[in-house]
Amino acid sequence: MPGQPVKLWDWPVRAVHWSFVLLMPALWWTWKSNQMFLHERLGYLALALVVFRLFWGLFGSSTARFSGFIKGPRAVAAYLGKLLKKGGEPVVGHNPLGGLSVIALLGLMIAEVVIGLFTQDTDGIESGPLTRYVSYEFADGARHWHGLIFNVLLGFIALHLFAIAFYLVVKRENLIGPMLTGRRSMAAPLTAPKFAPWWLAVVGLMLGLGAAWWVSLGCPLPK
Amino acid sequence: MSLRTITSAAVAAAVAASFAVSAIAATPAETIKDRQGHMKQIGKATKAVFDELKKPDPSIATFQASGKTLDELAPQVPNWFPAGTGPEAGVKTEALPVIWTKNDDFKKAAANLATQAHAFNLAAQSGSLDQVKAAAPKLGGACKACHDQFKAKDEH
Repeated sequence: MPGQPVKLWDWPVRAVHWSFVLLMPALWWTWKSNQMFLHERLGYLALALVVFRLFWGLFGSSTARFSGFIKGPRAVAAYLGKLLKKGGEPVVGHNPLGGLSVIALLGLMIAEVVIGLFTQDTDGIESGPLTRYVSYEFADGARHWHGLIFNVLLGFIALHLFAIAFYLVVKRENLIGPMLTGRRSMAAPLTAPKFAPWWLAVVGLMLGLGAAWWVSLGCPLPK
Repeated sequence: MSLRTITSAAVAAAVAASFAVSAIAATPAETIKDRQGHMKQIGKATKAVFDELKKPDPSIATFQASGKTLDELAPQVPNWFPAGTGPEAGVKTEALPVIWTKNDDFKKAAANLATQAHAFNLAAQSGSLDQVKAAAPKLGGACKACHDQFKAKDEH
């Protein structure tokens, strides 16, 4: 593609994204092979990452912010209308449809992690850190939802991969490279992204890890 | 014969009759339903134990109540699995056919649960949290060992 490389995705966005890519199969495998101790710890890591991503979506770089890519149905429809036409200039950041995808994937991951905290096995021997606040029936139901939402999440991941393949094959746009390097070529950047300082990412990371640590202890309140 | 004695005798007869009726009339579906109810009682008791262990200041009374329930119920487990109450009964059950094809192994696993439940109850009634903490994983292990082999893993 002609043009000059423009930095789109900062390292926190990329690191969080690829962490999810690694975490998803790891979480599935630890469940499948009955390694629940590990499953729970990886779940805390997922919790720290979604908390960080929410923080970054509010205070992070412009291409990471929800306010930058959550668009109304009219914008989504307009984008869909010209999706198959050639020559459209790529969007700096998530396009309106991609923004919806981020919300769906992040929302499902949040739901999955939160429900997991209340999930127990059939006899409450292996259980999330917050089951003691809920009944046997609730925690038993949580397990069903934890499994169900995982399957819905898989569906949306499949859709995400299909979209990436569609852009690659039909639109000749490689979205994977930029998610690795952070950069992509553009004829001219429409609006150059504004990047948040690195120390703000550290603040967000501390917040995420702190929240996960607190939840892992069962959300104790100071006496 | 006092009225009280007559009443008690009548109640006893009625209770005995209802047991006899249920013993005769229990279909596989009913047995499975009862079994699931009993297992849920066990599950609630173990949940209480393992939830309590996660608290910063566990209450021994919770372990004692669960210990008593578990010690009563665990020895009955083999009775809840008469032949014909597996998946062939045509109702939803996670009881695998291997319970009956490897019945000796199943009974051994169930006996281990009874042993561990009894040990846990003794630990709880002793009032020592350290003993409870030592007995609980063995109790959990007994549940798990049996479930791993004889119970379908629910996908969700």
